[in-house]
Amino acid sequence: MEESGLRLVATALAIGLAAIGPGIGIGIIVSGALQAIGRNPEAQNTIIPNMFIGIVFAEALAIFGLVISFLIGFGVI
Amino acid sequence: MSARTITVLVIVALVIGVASRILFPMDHIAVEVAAEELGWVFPEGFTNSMLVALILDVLLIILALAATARLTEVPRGLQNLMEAILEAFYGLLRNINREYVGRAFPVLGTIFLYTLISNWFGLLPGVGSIGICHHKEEAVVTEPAPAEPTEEPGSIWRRFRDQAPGLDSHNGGQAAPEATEEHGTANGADTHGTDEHSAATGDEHGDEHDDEHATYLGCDPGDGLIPLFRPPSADLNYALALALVSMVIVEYFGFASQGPRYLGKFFNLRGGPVGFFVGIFELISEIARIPAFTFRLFGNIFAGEVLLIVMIFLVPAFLPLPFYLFEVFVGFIQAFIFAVLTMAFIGLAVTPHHDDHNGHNGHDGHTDHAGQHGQGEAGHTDQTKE
Repeated sequence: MEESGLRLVATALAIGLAAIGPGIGIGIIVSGALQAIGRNPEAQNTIIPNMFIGIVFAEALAIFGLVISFLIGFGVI
Repeated sequence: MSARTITVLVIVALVIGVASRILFPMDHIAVEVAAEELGWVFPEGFTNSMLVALILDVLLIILALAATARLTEVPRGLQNLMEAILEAFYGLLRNINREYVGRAFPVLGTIFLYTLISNWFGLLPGVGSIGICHHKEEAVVTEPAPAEPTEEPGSIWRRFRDQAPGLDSHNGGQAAPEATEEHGTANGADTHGTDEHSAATGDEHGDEHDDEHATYLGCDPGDGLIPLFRPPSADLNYALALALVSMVIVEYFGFASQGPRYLGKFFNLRGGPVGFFVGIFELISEIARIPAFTFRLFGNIFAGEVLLIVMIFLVPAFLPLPFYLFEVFVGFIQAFIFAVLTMAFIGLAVTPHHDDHNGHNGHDGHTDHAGQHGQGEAGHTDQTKE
């Protein structure tokens, strides 16, 4: 197992696995937001910024995985 | 535009795209995680993202001065535009926390505007593609690469400048004029992986196989390109600095509204051992916001840059356009979220810590100060008047 091969596998795995959870999470968040908008379209301007806040929290975890993937892939770590 | 016209246009775009990939192939791409130091007339340690940060500083100051030069009651022109933007943003922040938006808006507005134009700066043509040819230790200035086969604006497109790490042993420990290390690419370099292990002479670029690609950049063979501009948000240092500033602002508002009792949220000696550990976890999560902020901003913008590079590498014409639109959107969202999250954390910080969390409504600071929590914070029921 050469390090170069392992590095490639690590780069791909880091972002691949890190994207699973946030993907599901963002789906749940947006689903909740869409249901809320469907029930009460007038509250759209309150719901949508809060939805984006929730999305950003969930997406940050995927970004952490992406940063680790970059650090491994570009040899920083 | 009929459906038929659109179909024809899409097919033409696809054909041109595929043709451009076949006719003008790029061999490999190189990106660097760290910002590169410009060697030319700039002092030591001055990176390209610092240069852009200064440029954006000057730009924002000029914009502010121009918009407020002749203030009129009924705004027109630039004043109107800036008022519209700031008013929209103020409205959004007010939905988060009505009490503190007035006090915090100067900082949050600055964070938003600066991060916004910093994120979008990376999409301009010339950013990342115009640079300085760097030949070993001398720095030779070159014109912008004139004969780039792809006419795509903003093609961030460099030569492969260093061997991929881990493939050779003499990659690290370079006492280079530029303190930042350059690293190989994540893709496109694998085909050349085996024949790059020649001596990495001295500082960098000992890559002989690039001779035939030298014409792409207008640099001499064996040279690499240091981009002149790089958006500051794609630099980890800027993201970290902004995160630290945000946290300092949040803690400032926490102390300003509650005084030394603010520390009681973290070092909770009243709730017994469980309460103590809850306080420690609060402290840890407070500190963990700094890397979260940092990596969120850096990761989004830098990954966006890499995405655009890869898209242009794959299909130089027309395909990157949807990704450009996506990057515009992401740039706006990240700037917006940075400010909004800081506002939300300010709202959390000024809420007095109490043991029962029944009426605690998260970051909606203006609903639950109305005298519900007179528990022991006798002199602090009026956070509104600070």
